Amino acid sequence: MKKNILLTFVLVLFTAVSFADGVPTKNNVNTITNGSAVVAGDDFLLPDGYFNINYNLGWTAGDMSNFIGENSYRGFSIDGRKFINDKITIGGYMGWTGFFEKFDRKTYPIDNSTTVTGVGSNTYYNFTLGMNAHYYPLQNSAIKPYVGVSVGPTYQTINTQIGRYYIENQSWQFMIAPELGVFIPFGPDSDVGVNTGIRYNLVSFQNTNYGISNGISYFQWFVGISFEY
Amino acid sequence: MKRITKLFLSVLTLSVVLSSCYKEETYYTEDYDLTITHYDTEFDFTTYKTFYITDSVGLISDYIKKGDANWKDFYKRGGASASVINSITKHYLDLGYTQLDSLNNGTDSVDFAVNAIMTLNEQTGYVYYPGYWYGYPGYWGGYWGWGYYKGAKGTTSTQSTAYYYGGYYPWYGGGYSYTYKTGNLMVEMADGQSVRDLIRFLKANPTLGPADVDAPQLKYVWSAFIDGYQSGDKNIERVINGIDEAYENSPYLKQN
Repeated sequence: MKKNILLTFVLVLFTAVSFADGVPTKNNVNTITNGSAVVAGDDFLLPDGYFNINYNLGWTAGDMSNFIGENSYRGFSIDGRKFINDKITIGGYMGWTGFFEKFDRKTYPIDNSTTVTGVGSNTYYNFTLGMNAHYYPLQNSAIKPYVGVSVGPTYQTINTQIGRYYIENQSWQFMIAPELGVFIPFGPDSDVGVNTGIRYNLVSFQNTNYGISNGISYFQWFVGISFEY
Repeated sequence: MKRITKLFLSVLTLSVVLSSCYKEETYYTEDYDLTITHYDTEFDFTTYKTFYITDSVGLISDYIKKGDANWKDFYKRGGASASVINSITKHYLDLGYTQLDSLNNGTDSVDFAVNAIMTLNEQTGYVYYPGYWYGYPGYWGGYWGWGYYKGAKGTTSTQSTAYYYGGYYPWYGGGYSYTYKTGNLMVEMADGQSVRDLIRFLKANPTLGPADVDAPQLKYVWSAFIDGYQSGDKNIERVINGIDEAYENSPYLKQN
């Protein structure tokens, strides 16, 4: 519960910080100058930045796919991006992901002399708070594809359980998540649209107790609402 | 400005959604049942022919006292103790061993002895959700407005349960306590000669216990551990299933 309150607090704080630099307006450099007529410039379609709220569907890769083979239907993320020039944004990212797999009752031989029979389950959660940077190659298109990356610390819980016994690791790790996506506005004049794409996540965690020797990796298909500002 | 408000609300909604995501997946009581077997890989079980089993299951518990209702229930005819002993006995007979009714029956010295110990314990915890205090300011208003709850008409007793004003009492949202009971059964196969040696030692040294450094060690050749949470009515059935699993997982016990 403590964790949840903290999470809520951080999310609210993050939102506050995202907009602390002023009211978001479509403040494009060439639209209005010196009270003269509106002039649509080349970068008319370039907003100040984006704010995204995404649902993420995840599937594991590498060692992690042996630990949990089930897809994750529990993933959410938000991020804010601000253009620092015509093609590059920087911003902040926050995401939460949960993976879980329950295994049918079965017998596991432990060395030659011991067997353990039970229902097992593996669980993985993480909460990431990071910085992001994106590259938008098409300035004049309403539909804007991009490539980018998020990096930052992630707080993870990894748990493996059989019967009522489990081992668990809760720790801060480093995460890097490159992604490929696209912003599609709801209409030609709309500053709200769909944001979707694919993200690869790699967490710097290694522990043979969980069979993870090369980091935790998983893909995510993200889709959500994007607000231009 | 409106847009910021919208965004802010979206994020708040999202954070509430996220907070509720930590709930565990569906787990039934039986899903926690565990059966573990362990044996001496050096030992040749075909050298054993006869066995002795204790007439009842030993009970260790932090909530059952000798002679109380639970204790009587445990040891009654057809109760937990009898069911467990019957099940284990049947498995050894099916595996091809011969049951003897004593550890040392004249020239018939039993090859191995079986003992079963059940541990039943109770745990209590309390979960408190401070979020309910922060999340529902109306509860505060109501709470302070009333000051204290009213007793039934004509009585001043604070013990009265006549009026609680429905579910508005703030404490009701604040948390809950829970109690759960765990149970496990340990079944051990000890070498008959090692058991007789120990008994002889204890008789010769009445002041010493089996844990004494000079006491002969029991030689365990096989053990099973069956563990889980207790539920309403299927506990015995689940223990018996665990016993079945333990013997299924130990094919080397078979005599022929």
